[in-house]
Order: sequence, then C-alpha cells, then structure tokens
Amino acid sequence: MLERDHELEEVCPHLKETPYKITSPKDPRYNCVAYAVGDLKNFWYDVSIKGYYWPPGVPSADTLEGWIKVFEIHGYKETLDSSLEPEYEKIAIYASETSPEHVARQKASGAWTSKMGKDIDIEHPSLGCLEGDLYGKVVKIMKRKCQGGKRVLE
Amino acid sequence: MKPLPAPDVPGKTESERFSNALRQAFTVSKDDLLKREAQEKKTKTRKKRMTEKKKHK
Repeated sequence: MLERDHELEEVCPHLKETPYKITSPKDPRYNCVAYAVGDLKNFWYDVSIKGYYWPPGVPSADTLEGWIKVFEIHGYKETLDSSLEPEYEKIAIYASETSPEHVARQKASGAWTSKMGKDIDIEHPSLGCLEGDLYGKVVKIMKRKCQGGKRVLE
Repeated sequence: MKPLPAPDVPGKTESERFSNALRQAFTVSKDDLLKREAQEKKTKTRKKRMTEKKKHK
C-alpha cells in the first residue's frame, strides 16, 4: 500500500506535515459516517438507493443535527474533551459553515481514523490535520463507553 | 415453519402484483438520484477547486 496519498494531501494540506498512515485501499461502498459506526457495507446518506442507508426518523444527512442524532442513537453523548480516555470511544464531527462534512473516530491508541469519502481509510495523529477548506473545522466531539471493553472495528 | 406473509404490493391480480413488486424492487426515486448526484458534485467541485487553487499559487 502507498505510504502517502498526494492527491489527498492537495485537498487536506495539513497532512503534508503529518505522519498519517493509509490503512485501507479505496472502497466506495462506505463513507466516514458508516466507518465511524462500524458499518463497512453501506454508504450512510439519506437517499433510498441500494447501498445507501440512513436511520429512519433521523433529520437530513445534510444537517449537523442529523449526524449528531445518528451518533446519539449509537449511545454517544456530547463532550468537549477530545483527549484519550481509555474506557470511552470518541468521534469528532467536522463541519463547514453550511453542513457537516466529515467524522473521525478515535482508536485505542489515541490516534484518529477516518474514511476519506469514497476513497481510502487513514490513521492520523490529530484532529487538526484534516481541518481546512475541504472538511471545515471540528465542531462536535461525542463519546460513549466502550461496549464490552471494545471499540468499533478494533 | 409458517411461510412469510405476502409483501404489501398493490395490484388486482397475481401477475399485476408480481409486476408491481418487480418495479418497486428496481425503481429509484428521481429526487433521491438527484440528491445523491448533487452531493457527489459538491464534493468533486470543492476538491477540484482546491487543487486548481494550489496549482495557481
């Protein structure tokens, strides 16, 4: 697997000076929201098309409110602390001025992991390295107790 | 084991219901398709704009 993705670095320039790792090949079947909740088979977005999924009754996938609700359904609650707390798993939602754009999930090591749209998964040491024009800024951190001591996909 | 109940598909005859069931299985709403396309276009446009911005710096 490639060590770095130069196209990705063009659109997320802070990655250029970040020791991130590519952890999976491109896979268009799932997106960042799916990856954060541990579903690698569906693209979480609210359209009724095969391969897409959005929980019934949840506000639009184009709204921050909708994304927050998805994670609340999965037991997450808002917090202001993005540091590693071993007994909690955390997610961070990035948003532009108009809509939510990305979500990253914290691993047991304290590093963060992200599915980049329809492309690759990466592991990145901080949240700030994905902030910028593409994803906006981190606007919400949420956490839940690790279920059975385990984290999603770990 | 009991057979599953028949799915709720409109139609007066068996063949009409079968035909409608097939159509339901393969039909996608135009609004949903347009919404998905708009979302994909938004991401592509933003990425393209950022790459071009870099090139011109």
